[in-house]
Amino acid sequence: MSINQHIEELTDQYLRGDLSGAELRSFEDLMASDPVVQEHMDFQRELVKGLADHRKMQLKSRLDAIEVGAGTFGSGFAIEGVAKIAGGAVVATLVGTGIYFMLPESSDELSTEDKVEIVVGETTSAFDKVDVPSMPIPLVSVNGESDAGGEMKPSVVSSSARVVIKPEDTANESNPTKENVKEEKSPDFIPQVSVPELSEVSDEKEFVSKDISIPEVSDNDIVGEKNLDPVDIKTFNRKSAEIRYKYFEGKLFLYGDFKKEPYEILEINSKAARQIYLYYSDQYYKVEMSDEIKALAPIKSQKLIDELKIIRENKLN
Amino acid sequence: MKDSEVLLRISKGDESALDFLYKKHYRMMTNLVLKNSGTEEEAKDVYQEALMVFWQKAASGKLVLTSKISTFLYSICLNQWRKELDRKSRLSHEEVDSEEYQDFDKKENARIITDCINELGDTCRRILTYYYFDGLNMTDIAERLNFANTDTAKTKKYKCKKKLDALVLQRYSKKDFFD
Repeated sequence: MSINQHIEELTDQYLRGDLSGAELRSFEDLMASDPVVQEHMDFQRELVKGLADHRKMQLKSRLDAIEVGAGTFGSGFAIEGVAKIAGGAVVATLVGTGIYFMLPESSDELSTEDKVEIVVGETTSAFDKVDVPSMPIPLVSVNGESDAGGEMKPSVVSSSARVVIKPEDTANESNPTKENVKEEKSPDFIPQVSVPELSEVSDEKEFVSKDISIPEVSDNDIVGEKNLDPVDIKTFNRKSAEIRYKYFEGKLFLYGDFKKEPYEILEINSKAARQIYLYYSDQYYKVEMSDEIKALAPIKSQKLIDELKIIRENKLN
Repeated sequence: MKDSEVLLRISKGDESALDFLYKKHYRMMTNLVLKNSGTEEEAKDVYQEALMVFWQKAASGKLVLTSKISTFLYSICLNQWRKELDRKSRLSHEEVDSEEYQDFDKKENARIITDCINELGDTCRRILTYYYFDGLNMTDIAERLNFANTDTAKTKKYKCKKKLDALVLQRYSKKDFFD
């Protein structure tokens, strides 16, 4: 019997396990009696096995990329949840303790709501790193996202959120005058300050002082504000000349025969983006963002290869 | 995530549910092999293979769970590891070389098929693996791959399969010629 579409359909159903009862027995009899059908079946079985292996490899590569170190404690999601709760509790305790010990007794008459005003902002903490001396008065609050707005009372401002600038007299920084202290303690004093956007601070002429050396903002500084942690790389050895990869959320998973030959990563960080290239076995590859496992194709542009060579050689030197 | 939710998500092709299962039961399943003279690598292989069996059954909608997923996975791991121990025991009594020699032809064919699958386009590979491994029907494939309807999926599957058949047969005949 020649292989017609009906036999092909039956073969598919047989290989998928969809045949049963009389249909199954009938088809098995046909295979046993007809070598052409049997041969067709053997060939199709090999193909289906190949497809199954391909799919399994795809799913297993996915599993290989999963960190299982914390498996003894249960799921990672649970650990993450516990860590967040514990972290939250620690922060709350620290804030509470800080308020208890730091608040002056005279402010007891203030309501609890008035006492705590936490201002959080990444830009604020980054700015704190700059060595800026303090100004006697008034205190300037830089509002973060969580700032409820309105006036701020000096005695209750969180230190992490406060930027104090003293453009004239830097010598008084560590020895505040009595007048200053007095003004700070005054519960009635409510400064009316127009608050500049922090992003504009570097351009604000009013903040420039002759006596203070504030580092200038350069492109590098701006890049430095981004997350420039080195790429987290995890390798999986497989006996194949082909390199496969997956790169997302700053994590790079590489699958290849790296025992035979090591690879090198070239990371080019610019203001616009981060570019990652891989050098392996005399070839350069570009690593692009992908949450699926893909094969790396070698770069063919000679111009780009030449540029990468220069970068790589400079790096080695 | 409850077992029923895991099962539902896998039946919809959500591979992250597999990740969740893998992580959740990793230590328990691999310990089974590690405590029975297996290595970490063997333990991982056995567990992953068990998950493949589970995935295949769950994705096709053919799985009716009468126990917890962990119990199901544990029994597959146990069987897989017993089989592997049997195979190892047989190999120690036979000539390894002869088995490898007999397998050479099969391995060569498998390599050819793998190469041909990799030559197919991504859509073809997905249609064929979804149909033959995941056990999806044409309606599910059409939905998952955003085809207009089931007939489109059927036609595409037919063409992709024919293309794979032709590619492999072409390589087989070349190989036979050189042999």
